[in-house]
Amino acid sequence: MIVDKNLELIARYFRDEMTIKEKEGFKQKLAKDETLKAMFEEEKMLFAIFSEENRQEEEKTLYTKLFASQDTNNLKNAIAKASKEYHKKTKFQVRQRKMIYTWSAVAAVVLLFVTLNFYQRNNNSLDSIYNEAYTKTSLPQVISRSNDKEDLHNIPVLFGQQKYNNILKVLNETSLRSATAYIYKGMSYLALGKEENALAVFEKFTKTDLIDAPKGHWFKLLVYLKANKKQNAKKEAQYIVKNKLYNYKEAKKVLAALD
Amino acid sequence: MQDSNFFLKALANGNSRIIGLMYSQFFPKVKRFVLDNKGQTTDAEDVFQQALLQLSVRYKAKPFEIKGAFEGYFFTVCKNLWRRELKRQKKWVTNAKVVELVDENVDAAEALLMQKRWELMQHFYEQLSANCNKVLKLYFEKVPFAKIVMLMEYSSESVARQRVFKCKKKLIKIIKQDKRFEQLKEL
Repeated sequence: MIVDKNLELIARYFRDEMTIKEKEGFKQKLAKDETLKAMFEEEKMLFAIFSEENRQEEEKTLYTKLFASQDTNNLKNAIAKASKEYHKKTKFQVRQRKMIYTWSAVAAVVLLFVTLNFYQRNNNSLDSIYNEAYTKTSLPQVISRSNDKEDLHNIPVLFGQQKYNNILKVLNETSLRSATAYIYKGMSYLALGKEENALAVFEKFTKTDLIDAPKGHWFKLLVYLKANKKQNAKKEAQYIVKNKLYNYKEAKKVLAALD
Repeated sequence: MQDSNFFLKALANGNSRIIGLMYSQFFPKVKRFVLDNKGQTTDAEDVFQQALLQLSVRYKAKPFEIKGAFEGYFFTVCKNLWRRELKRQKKWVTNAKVVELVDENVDAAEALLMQKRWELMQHFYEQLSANCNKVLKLYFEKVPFAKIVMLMEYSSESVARQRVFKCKKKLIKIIKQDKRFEQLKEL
């Protein structure tokens, strides 16, 4: 496509690419050539819309007058009033928000402190009760006379060496049903932090027909203390005291400490 | 959601209660835009107030309707005002000459005209291809053809000229089909 010479000229004129002499010549041609003039008007319109230069002087004058009018001044006052109100309100809201944040932060810190303190105290007290109760617990030293398995004899030693997994391995491999076996099994679970398993073992122990079965309640009490289950510990201790079971005097002390 | 003309009428009547409502609804967004674009809160305040005045004057000169949400339209007005201000500040920085102070009402009138022109341009540009859009913007900004060749990656100035005239032809066709054509001829 070859660009029309007239279009070229018009573009050069509007884009300020002509010399003064060229501009003169162009204007003379424009006065005579109707086709060129029509094309020129189109370009003028395009530049009026799309070029940064503003040729809308009339409209500009109208707007300038309106901007300078009393109505606009009144509006300026109304805007200033609204602005003042808005910023006053916003400042108040920001202040309020800041206060809420500050107090929330203070409350959070206090709450955290109280919670930690309570938890720690609670924890500490149950821990210390557990430790005290544990020292009053006598663990059997001989496993079974009827079983000759060397490993079983070693269980109290292993317990002293804190080899709880070894104990569990040995006891889980045998069908041994003795109070001592239940006690070491449960206490090993407890030492490993497997309180639920320990509780299950001692629960089973209490339901056996073994002569020492009631001892299981004392060990259940130990589990509850270790697991920080205060209410359960209380109930268990009360049961021991009420039925005068193994270590019931110690259970009384536990109850007093829990209260 | 309030009708767009509800705000225009409130501005024309100088209703400070509704202007207060406009502050709480629209100012935070305008402030964010100005602050994100090298401005201060006071600049945002100026832009916001100028936009309110501009809409009021425009409505008084000739009542008009806003198609779509008022918030979007108002935000565009504010953006254009701030862009204009930034451009002017840039000129102040680059020009060593003393810049003559323009009467604030004349300046506001020019800003209004610019906004109107911007709206018109958007309307027409939207109907062109992206390529035509870009090349014509460069053409009307009086960017030399040699630079247009470079920016648009054309093979020669001749190709650039052909492209410009082709796009311009399309643009004229679009404008002539527009109902505002008769009005535009008066420009």
